Amino acid sequence: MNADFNPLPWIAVIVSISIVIQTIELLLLRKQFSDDGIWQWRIVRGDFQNLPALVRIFLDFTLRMPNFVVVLWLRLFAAIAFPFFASLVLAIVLLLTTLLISVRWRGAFNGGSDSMTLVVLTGLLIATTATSSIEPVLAGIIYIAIQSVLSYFIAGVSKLKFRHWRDGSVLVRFLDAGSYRVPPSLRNVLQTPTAAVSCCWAILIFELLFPFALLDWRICLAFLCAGTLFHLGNNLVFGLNRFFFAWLATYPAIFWCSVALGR
Amino acid sequence: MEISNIVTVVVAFCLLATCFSALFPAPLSPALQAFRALFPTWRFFDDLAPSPQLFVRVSSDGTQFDGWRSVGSKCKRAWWRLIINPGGNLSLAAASLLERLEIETSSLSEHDGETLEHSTTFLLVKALAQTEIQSHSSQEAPTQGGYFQFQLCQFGTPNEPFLISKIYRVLP
Repeated sequence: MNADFNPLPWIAVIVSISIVIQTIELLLLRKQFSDDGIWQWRIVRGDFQNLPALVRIFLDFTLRMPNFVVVLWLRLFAAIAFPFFASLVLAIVLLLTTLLISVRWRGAFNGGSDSMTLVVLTGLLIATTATSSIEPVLAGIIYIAIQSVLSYFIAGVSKLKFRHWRDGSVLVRFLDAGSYRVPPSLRNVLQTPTAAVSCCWAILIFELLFPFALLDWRICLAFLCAGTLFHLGNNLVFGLNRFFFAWLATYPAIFWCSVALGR
Repeated sequence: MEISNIVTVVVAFCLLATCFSALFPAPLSPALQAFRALFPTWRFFDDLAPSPQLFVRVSSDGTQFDGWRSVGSKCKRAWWRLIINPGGNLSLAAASLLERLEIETSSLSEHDGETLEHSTTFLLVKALAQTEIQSHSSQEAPTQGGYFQFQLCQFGTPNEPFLISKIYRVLP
């Protein structure tokens, strides 16, 4: 590889930690998707009536209880093994089981974090197909990096269109939507116009300028530090723990690209 | 192959895929929507409106109901929730479910009530309401063999429901 630093082991370790956490969470919540829970398979399967019979049979077999719990355990073991034995088979198992979980939750259990996990696993799958050539490895790393950079940039552009992001009024609404009760002191601070506008514009500028991270590794490091703090803040205030780990797994790929492209 | 060529191919693929997702943000069918994680739009937390609120009420005979009670509570903070947060993520999944029912309700006409009642999203919200009632049954009037009803309201307007369900029996 052109850059001295190999990001693949780092990506593999972080995404494996992320998947282990996600899977343990789902195993702890298994009553919610059991036959007397909320997301019962006999209800959810109604979405797939128009799919080809073979696909329906496959989904019925893998997503009904207790088989779905077996899928979760398989994913957990594959995630634990992946950093040590990063093989094509394990990458396929992780990608397939992650996709099955998204399908079981009618698209996503946790929105963008499921998509980013799939992006990282797709990149790793591409990379693990390499036998003697380096191209698949590069393609996998670059795919992860570009998708991550796009995720920030597109999120910034789409936010910029809305007045409540530009005037800061969105923050209080965010506090109501989170899974935690926000301490009154923090709410009071964020309700002041100066703090609200500053926070919103800091997020907008960070997301819109994120593509510049690819230009130079020093700029990249600054953006990755800011990104880590951004996701940590979201985790602390809104309980978005899955986003933190899903995006962190892409950072070694972004850093590698910044080193390679900056030369 | 030169690295610049690989970059060009991957960037072109990503941009095409993302443009496709942006141009067609709502997949055509629920089955396609289930695979939407494969086609990320990366448009999150932009036009954020708080999720609708779910309210339930119970009755032992199906005529005299208790008052409406809000479903869903905020999680308590704990350091370990920074790492593993099943309860918080379940709350977010439930909120997404209610948002989806709101979207489906708004896209149907008044005459499509029966269609809505048999939709996957409605049935899941009904299961959510029933689960909530069962988890609180020890604190309330006995719900076994009783009845329940649920309604959805915009955040902050508990007296203006945009959806009120029929009355259903509480299943054992």
